[in-house]
Amino acid sequence: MNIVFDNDRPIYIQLVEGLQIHIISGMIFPGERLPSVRELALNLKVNPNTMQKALSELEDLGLIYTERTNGKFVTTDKSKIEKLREKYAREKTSKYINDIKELGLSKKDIINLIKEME
Amino acid sequence: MELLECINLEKRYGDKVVLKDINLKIPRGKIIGLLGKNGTGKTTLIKLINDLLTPTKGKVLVNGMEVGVESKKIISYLPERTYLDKSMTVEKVIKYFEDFYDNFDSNKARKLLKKLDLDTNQKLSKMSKGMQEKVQLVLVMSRCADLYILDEPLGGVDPATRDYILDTILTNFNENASVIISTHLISDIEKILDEVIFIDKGKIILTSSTDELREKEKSSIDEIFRRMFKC
Amino acid sequence: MLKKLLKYDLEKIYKVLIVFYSLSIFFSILTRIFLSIENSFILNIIGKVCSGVTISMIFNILINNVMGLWSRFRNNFYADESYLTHTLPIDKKTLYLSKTLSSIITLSSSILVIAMSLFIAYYSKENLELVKNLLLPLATVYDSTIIVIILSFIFICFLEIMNMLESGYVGLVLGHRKNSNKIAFSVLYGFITYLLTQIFTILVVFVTALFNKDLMNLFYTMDTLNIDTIKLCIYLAMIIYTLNIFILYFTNLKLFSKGVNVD
Repeated sequence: MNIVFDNDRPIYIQLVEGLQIHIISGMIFPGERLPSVRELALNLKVNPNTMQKALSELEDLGLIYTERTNGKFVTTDKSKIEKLREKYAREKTSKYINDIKELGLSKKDIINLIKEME
Repeated sequence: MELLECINLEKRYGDKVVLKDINLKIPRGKIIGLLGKNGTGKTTLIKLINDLLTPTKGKVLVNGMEVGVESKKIISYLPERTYLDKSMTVEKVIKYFEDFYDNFDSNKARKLLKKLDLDTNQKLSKMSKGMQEKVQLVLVMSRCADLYILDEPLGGVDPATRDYILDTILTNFNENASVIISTHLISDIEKILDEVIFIDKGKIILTSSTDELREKEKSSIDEIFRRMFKC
Repeated sequence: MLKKLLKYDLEKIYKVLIVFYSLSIFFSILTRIFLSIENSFILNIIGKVCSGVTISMIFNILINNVMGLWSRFRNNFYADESYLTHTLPIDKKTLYLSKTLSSIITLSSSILVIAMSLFIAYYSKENLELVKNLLLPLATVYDSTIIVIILSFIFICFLEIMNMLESGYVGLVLGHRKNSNKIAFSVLYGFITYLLTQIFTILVVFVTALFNKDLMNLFYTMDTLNIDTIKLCIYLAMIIYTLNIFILYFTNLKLFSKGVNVD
């Protein structure tokens, strides 16, 4: 697991995003057991308290769940992961479109450009 | 009860005020950065907490009690200098810590030292200063203390050592203990801090949770610090 | 905790002293051997050299003992190592007591070794007679044996050095009160303290002399004192020095326990 941090933004938000990307991309499988908070924190070299906060947030979002004695697991609800994937895809695409538009290209140009790339 | 509390703490040398109006509460389970430029009173504050200086005014309470034998049992302190008897071998120093600190875990220390690839029968005086500092850090972090106070642990170390130090701190940190790290090299450690205390000209000028501060100012702690103390 | 502290204190000081102890004993044996061989001019010269070395080793023992104790006191309590010493979970009284006890112990053993060296190097019937004749007038009036005289003399030396050591400790504590690491202040304060103890000693002797005409002669005439007066002086010295040591110990302990300001 690897997340590159940017000190300008709250670390816990970056952790939430980073873990979400890991889940969407399948680097962590649905239903997979997560390492302990300590291990995760050590792995990513962040404060365990911050890690805890991020995991709580993910739990609130329903992306992970806690089994009382066994630890934390990634949700098996594939539709939830799918939804999240779509959300990220939309966000990233709209950001991309905005960037290109700033260069003075139209929507049509963008579509052509993408087709050309393929 | 707060793990550490400073009440109206003041330190003066003659007419020179080094610390003034220090009011501070440190709870358990946090990693706290004590941030300030060199010579702004960070070390003075730390020395007052460790009974190496006597306050001119005010007091320091550890677990509700004034500084003394009891507070020294639960505080593990790393000074900003080499402070061990250099004629001792590492093995001997381990024995020394075992003798005097009930909460010192010598197995843990040996395990951590092994990572340094170090001959423990070597005298400290035969080692580089950097190595001596690492040995000190290992000893300090191998105590099962309630409060760890690390004074400038990152001063002048290479990136690999910095990682070793941060790893050692994170591995040994537990939710019942707190860690205070004083430094002026903020970008290196801000990722692991829960809270920051900014200190300047002997006064505390800001205390905040790190993520809240980043959110509010939309920038890194390092940048906020630089902006605040522009020379 | 006192035991452990004492262990480390003694270990550190004996590490150096043991070298001088061995050398002193070694050369005293050589002195003995070479001086006992008669009719050899060269061996006699070598014996005289060894004798000189033995005497210098004896001084080395004393100087190293005293300086070693002072420097350990300073290193432990005020130099870099103070960061370790003062953050040990041990109260200041125990820290200080360990230093005083290690002073008493090392000084006693040093005096013992010195006595042994002297005995090995120079004990002979003739020399014993010489000492006897020197001390006999004292001993007879004393109603005591020569051994007691020698022992009380040694004891006074011991007390005098202890007095000096404690004065030095007072100097170190006073010198470092204000977070100034200037050794000159410590030396100055130590010297003043020592002078004060000496003035105190003379004062007590003088006050006693007000009630003792013979003792008064000590201040006004160059006459040799009579035996009774010498006896009184010895007793007084023992009492005053012991008193000095206790006063220095307790006042300094009080100062020290108020807390340190380490640079």
